[in-house]
Amino acid sequence: MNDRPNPDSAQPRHQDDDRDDVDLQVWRKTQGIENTWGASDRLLVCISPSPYSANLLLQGRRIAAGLHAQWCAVNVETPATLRLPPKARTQLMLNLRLAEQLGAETVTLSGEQSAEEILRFARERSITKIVVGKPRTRSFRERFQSSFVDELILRSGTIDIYATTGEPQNAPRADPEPTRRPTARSALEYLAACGVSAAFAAVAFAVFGREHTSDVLMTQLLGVVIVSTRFGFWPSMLNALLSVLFFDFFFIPPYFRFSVEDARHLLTFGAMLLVAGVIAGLTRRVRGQVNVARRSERRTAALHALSQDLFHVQEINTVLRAAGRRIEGVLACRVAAFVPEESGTTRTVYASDGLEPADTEQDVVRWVLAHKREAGCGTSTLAGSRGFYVPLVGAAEDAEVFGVLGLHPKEGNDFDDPEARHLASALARQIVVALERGRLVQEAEQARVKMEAEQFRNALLSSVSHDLRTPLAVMRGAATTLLDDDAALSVSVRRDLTHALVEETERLDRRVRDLLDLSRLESGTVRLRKEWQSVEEMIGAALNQTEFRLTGHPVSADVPSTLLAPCDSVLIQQVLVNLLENAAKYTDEGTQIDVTARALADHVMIEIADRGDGVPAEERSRIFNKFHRAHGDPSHAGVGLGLTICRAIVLAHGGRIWVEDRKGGGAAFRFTLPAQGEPPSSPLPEFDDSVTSKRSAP
Amino acid sequence: MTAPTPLILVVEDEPQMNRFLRGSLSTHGYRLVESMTGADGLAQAAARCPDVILLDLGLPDMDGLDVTKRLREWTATPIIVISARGRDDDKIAALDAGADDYLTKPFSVGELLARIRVALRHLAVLQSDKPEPTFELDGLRVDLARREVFVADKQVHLTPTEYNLLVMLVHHAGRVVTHRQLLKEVWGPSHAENTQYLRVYMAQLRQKLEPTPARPRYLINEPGVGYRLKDRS
Repeated sequence: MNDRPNPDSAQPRHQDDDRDDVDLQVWRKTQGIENTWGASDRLLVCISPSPYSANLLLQGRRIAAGLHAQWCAVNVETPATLRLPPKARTQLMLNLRLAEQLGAETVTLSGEQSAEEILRFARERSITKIVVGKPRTRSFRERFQSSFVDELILRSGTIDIYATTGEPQNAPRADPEPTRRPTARSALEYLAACGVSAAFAAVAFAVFGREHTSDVLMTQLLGVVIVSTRFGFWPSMLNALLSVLFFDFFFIPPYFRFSVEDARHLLTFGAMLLVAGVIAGLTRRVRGQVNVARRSERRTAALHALSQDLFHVQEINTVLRAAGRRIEGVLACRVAAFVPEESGTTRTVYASDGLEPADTEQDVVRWVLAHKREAGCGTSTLAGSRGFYVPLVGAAEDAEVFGVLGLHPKEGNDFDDPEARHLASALARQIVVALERGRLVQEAEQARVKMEAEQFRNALLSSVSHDLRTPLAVMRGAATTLLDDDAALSVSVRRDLTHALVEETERLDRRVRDLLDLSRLESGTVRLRKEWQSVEEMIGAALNQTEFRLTGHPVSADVPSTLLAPCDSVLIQQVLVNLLENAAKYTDEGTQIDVTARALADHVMIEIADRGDGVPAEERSRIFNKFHRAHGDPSHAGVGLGLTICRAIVLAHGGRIWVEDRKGGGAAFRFTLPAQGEPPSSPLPEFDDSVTSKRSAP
Repeated sequence: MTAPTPLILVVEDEPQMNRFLRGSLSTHGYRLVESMTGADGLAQAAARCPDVILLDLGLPDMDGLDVTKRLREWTATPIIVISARGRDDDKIAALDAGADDYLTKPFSVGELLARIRVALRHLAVLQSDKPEPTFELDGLRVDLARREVFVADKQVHLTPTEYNLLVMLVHHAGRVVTHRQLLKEVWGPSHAENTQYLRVYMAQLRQKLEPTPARPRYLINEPGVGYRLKDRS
């Protein structure tokens, strides 16, 4: 059943000794120091659809690791390879993939002559060594022509050629390929070839009769040319042969017999056959090249289009959706994309219209995820599936599987064609590249965040140690002076010191509280207790709490008593307190502070405005940052966490906080609280609305 | 002050804190009993019958909340919790467990003395069995006997619920009454969670009693915890 070479069994690397792993480590180490490769060796391994190419690749890797060289694996598509049976094509694909897994760059070249193409590529890339498989036997044709290896050695110039036998000692003999069955199309071509030769013979007879044999010959040659340019090689040859026979039978004496009186006519027959053969051969070659070009053009166009689509997207879901839409068009199939979930199940990220993968298909997806190999229709694994499934997995051996691409053929095409599967794999690789890029971007971002966190931590430590130690220093100094019995302190000095002590403890207390609040807010342990709160009540509480620190500042509050906002009253009150303290701290005594609250369309806006110097435009966004000190003013030195706490709280509520200039001078700190929905309905009804005093007068 | 010097039981395990309390309270004319553990505190409370208990929540042998509950099983002695736990949850838990007041460390001596005075006054009312007939505060006068409320000598008309709410606060004047306590007392135990009612009635009370409701002078909101009616002193 499993006639497809299985990568695990076809690649002897799993049975190989530990040296492979050591080599690989050497190779990986060298990869880290890419720059040193400039002047060193570059290796090229020629691979073919042979299963022995796997061994060739392993040897290539060993040589490359030994030389610390960069290496690539090259396959050449010639017109001949187009006629390869599907099995050989699949093997070629496996070989290419193995090469990638082993760390080689894989290149597929198109051209007429393999050796020529490889050498041209080698010179372009400054390849110094080429590894090529040594054939054990020569084909019939190669006895007369120079073989690929001979050609390569002859024309290689300065490049070293390593011809090794790729064949392992105990390698299984490759099964003879089944011959191609003639298809309906080729049968038709043979029929047409017969018809054309008969028709041209008839026409020539009708027009020229038996006298003008040269004109008859030209007419028949026209038929040969037409058939040769239209049909395949063998129908053309049949046509040429029939033409010769008709010519001999009808036009060359003795008539109606195949014998020839004049031996010179044999030369004519030979020429005719030769012309037909040459034209058919040329046509076949041209057609082959067109096919190669068309296929590679199609593949290039598809890959290009996909890479365009994936250029700006990185997030896995977006990538897969964009890729799904593109592949639908390119491969004319229905596409589904799955990603593994942590629970072990899969999630469908994308599915074409009209595609509902049956539950059984989920098994295929899971199999592909687990084995990192293709499966489904067209392959030897779970071939009964409706779709063809490609893993989205990186080239590295330990690469994680990003997901699975499921391709469901529409009517009329399928994935039995290895070319379609090959293209699907190429597209899948492109997706993987996009996904890997996305992950790298993400990792870079994480590294950046981590670095910033580190910087922040340092800033915090220096800031905190400064801001906590300063008050402590003052306190200790004042306290020790007071304790000193020898110092004859006047009453006023004692009072001063005592006041300093009290003030510094308050300062210290505030800073510790701010730090605790901020760390609680940022660690996410604070759970918002959102309830519809009276804004007036919260502002009242905040004013009450800051009463002492607002001494000397007339405060006006303009708050509708019915204004409600859904929020955590404790936290919002803290925002208000911080903003009020801030206003008092940065403005001169005697200046007014105005508190206003308004209900807007879908939120409540609260403003605390002062008559100070305002906040310069360039400072406005920064003052909410951690450890920002306003105007760099040492007299207001402090960790400056108040506004940061405000921002954290307001953002947690889904609101916004900012500062703007106030008309007539000063700063206006504003924040919003989203207030969607309706506050809960009015409380318990109170039937007796009578005046209390009358009811219970004694 | 009442004839014998009030006796204060301090249940606190931090020696420096004890030192500070001893110094500041004795200079203000209070007698002190000190206790380093919850168990010892409970024993001392039973043996010495203090007038006020200062209780730290973080004790080495048992939680201050449990000490409060155990004390409340048999005594109405005012308990003032002094704790570094500043979250409103901790305050509510302590007040609902039966503490009379809550002070977050660090605090000033002035604050502590004020709270002790409030506690002693409530104790006096409690012991005299004769509630004061009127409550007066800075222009606000509540005549409990006649159920009349005046602001700046002008009578204010309150609905029964508003009045009950005010009276509850008057009884605990100077101390925080939690939302839960107010709701249970005024609306009944089944409405203990409906803080929305409370908010609306408090807004109405402020409108009727406060000269500027956005800057209340009498009815103080302790966000997340409850309400407090300011007291004399």
